[in-house]
Amino acid sequence: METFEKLFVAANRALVAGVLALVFGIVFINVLGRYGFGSSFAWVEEAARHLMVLGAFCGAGLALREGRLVAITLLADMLPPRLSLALKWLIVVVMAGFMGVMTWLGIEFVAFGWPKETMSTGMPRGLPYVAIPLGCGLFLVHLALFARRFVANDFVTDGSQPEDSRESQA
Amino acid sequence: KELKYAHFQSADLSSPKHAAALAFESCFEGKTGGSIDVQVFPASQLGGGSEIMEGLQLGAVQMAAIHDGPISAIYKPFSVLAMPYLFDDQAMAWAVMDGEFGDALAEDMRQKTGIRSFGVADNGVRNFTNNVRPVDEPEDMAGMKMRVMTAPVWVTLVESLGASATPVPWPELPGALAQGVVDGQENGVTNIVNASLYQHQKYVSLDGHVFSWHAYLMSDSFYESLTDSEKTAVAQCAEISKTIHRGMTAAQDANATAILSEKGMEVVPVSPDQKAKFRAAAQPAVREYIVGEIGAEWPDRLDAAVAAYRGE
Amino acid sequence: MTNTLIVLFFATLVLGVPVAFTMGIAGLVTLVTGTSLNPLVAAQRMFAGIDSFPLMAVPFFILASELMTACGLTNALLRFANALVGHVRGGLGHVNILVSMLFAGISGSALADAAGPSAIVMRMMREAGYDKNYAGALSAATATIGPIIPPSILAVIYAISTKGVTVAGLFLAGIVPGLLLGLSLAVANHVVSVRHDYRGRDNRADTGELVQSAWLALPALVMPAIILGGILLGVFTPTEAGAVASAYALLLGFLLRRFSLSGLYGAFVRAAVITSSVFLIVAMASIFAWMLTYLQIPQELAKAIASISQEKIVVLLILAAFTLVCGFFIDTLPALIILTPVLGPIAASAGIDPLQFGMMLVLNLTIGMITPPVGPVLFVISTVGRLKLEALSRAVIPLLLAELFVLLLVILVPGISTFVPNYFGFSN
Ligand code: NA
Ligand code: NA
Repeated sequence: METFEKLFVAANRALVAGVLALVFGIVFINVLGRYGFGSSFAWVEEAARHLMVLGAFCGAGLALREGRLVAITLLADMLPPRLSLALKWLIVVVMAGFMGVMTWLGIEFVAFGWPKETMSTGMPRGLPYVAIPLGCGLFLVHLALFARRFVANDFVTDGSQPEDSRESQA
Repeated sequence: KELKYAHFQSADLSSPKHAAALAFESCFEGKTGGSIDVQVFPASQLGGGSEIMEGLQLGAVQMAAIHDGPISAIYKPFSVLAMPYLFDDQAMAWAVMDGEFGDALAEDMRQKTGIRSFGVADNGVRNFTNNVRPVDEPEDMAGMKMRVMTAPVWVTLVESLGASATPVPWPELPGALAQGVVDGQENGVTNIVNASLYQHQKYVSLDGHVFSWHAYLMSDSFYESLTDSEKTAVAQCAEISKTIHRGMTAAQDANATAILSEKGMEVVPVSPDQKAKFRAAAQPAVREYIVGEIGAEWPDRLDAAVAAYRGE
Repeated sequence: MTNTLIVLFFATLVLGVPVAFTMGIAGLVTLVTGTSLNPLVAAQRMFAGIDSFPLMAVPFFILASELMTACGLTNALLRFANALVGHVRGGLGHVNILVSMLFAGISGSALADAAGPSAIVMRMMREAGYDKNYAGALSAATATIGPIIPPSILAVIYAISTKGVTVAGLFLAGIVPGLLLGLSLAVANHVVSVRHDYRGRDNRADTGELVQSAWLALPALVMPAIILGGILLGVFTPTEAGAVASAYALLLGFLLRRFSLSGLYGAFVRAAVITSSVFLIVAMASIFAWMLTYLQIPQELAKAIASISQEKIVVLLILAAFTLVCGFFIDTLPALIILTPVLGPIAASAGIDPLQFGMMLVLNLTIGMITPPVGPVLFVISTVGRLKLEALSRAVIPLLLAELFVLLLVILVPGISTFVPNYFGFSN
């Protein structure tokens, strides 16, 4: 299980970093193209938008792990530990419920959009909509694996976390 | 019952779409004796064109006045109306759209998308503007960076005229012109004035390459849920709205020279002979592109409708 | 229906549900239970909310600032600021302000500043004998300069949802208020430093140190020039400017040989995940804001305010007070997304320049980042500095007053926001 989680997280990180790199690449090359070769591509704008939407939804689970989903924790901090724990579990359930519904709606939305076309590349509109069920589904997997640590406030920190950055900058 | 009505122009009476929407509201509420509450949402409040097209199918809105681009994305044959240098004047364009051709297109769209059209009003005759030099022949456009809408048919049009096409989304257009990211763009007088595009564009060529449209659309399932007298009222009130909308836009197009000179632009007239040069350069290329996308049926029917009008 | 929407939003917020989810849940539940709408509308709004090219400036500027930090240029900025103003009274405090202003030219986010350069100077201030709560408070306050001086994530988000306002125009509108913010904090810091006798570094930096630190910071110092210059000269749009800034940072990192492959990969992952957390809020807020509009709440509010007064300045003051209160309780970004379509039309119909209104809104909500109970920058600083929120909040008061003074100026003097953009041809 732990190996699966590690692989899953690594793959998810690679996905979002790859998407961002790709978006950055095509937008930058389009700027160069306009000046270097006097032409730019009509599809770049749309492709960049849709890829970024994909990256954004698919990174939601990672944001959860890193404690980047801001919340007001005043109530949890004030309650006695056992009640606070119960509250945290309630929040997990609420998030899971919402993302579950959105995954399902997302799938329906893909089906709804499939017969239509996007404005500039003419691909099925349902294709970019896949970002919603995919991202929400990934979030659910992350939540299932991470719920215990979320409840315990045990977030994953990386180099950008304040505590660490103090060390690395010292 | 509620009828949510969406459009994309600003909420003042000088916007043709808004004036038309308010006219629809009072007409329809009056005729139905208040059984239906019309709520107008201007200025993209409920979403952009593509979202509202989907919204009509989802029941998020019941009625909308929508420009050609987002319609083509859901109902492809509508893109046939991007054929450049086709109509001689407004009367001809209206006759074709109000006649058999327009009806057939609307009916086909209703069957394929579940969206009913009550006809079209003008989004203005599109003209090229730029900040480099007066353009009255295709050669003048050589080397210019021309902004186009983010759909390939416009790239084809502009490149067939020898300019280089830079697709820029509408919200970024004023900035792109101000900053000189592009040298020029193409739009009707209404858009040039409302979005203050004249601020950063010196020349406007009245080439009138495309007559672009706003269609008055309603969710067909909503329409079918209406009583017979309500159905009649919709048609009548949409007719009134279209008349107002057409009148206001056409007045601006007809007075383009006066309006745009007053805004400080140099207006470049394009004679019929010069327009023929534009047509020779652009129409075959765009036609080939459109046929490749939607087949020859609708382009042929459009040509036939134009020929029939000329023959009369 | 309206009640469901508002009550559910605040209830989930107080329970501690992540802010993004509070808006999504309130919107979705209202949509399903209170209207006859197809629930797919929720999915559509979620997608449409972030399906925007101008919005993509956000990930690019996040990436650029991650890459700059990975290059070590944030530290170079710090040394430069220290050499420049470290010797005056309350020197490190001024360093804190200056480095935030310099960093603001690269980064568009207050949190990035608070967790990065401001946190570093906070530690230096404490070692130099400043009160730890004051050091924290100043770091929090200076971090709010980030989204005022261009580039600015908040400015992008306001501009894309407001007719007639360009991202470039609002970027320019932030220059003067950003400088004023730095100036007013410097005055406040001076007053506090005199009272507590905080001194500067012992010796003034000699010319050699100054030149050397400037030289090392130069690659970072020219970044704002590239961004703004490129936009103004029409080389690229603000979104593309973000991509160019990232490319510049990438190039620098390779030229200076500062990147390891894993470091580079880490910067991309971090930027992507931060982008996700921002975009998730934007997406969910889009469901919420759409429901508000659909239920005609903004329209009603506008009528109510219009019935009080039509006077420009009165309307602006009412809107500012309303925004300030919202800023206490709602996080900056969601507040901005909700309030822009609600309050924007009210300001427009009162004849307030949208650039001035936008600046008021952005500055106002940014100030909300250092006010309890919901003050994200305060949270970051209290975590990093292990400070009690109550003590930190108290220490921030004089600095808060200094910032509110700038806000008042922005409200009373339209030219502060409009002069620079108008000068460059962005006007309404
Ligand atoms: Na900034
Ligand atoms: Na600082």
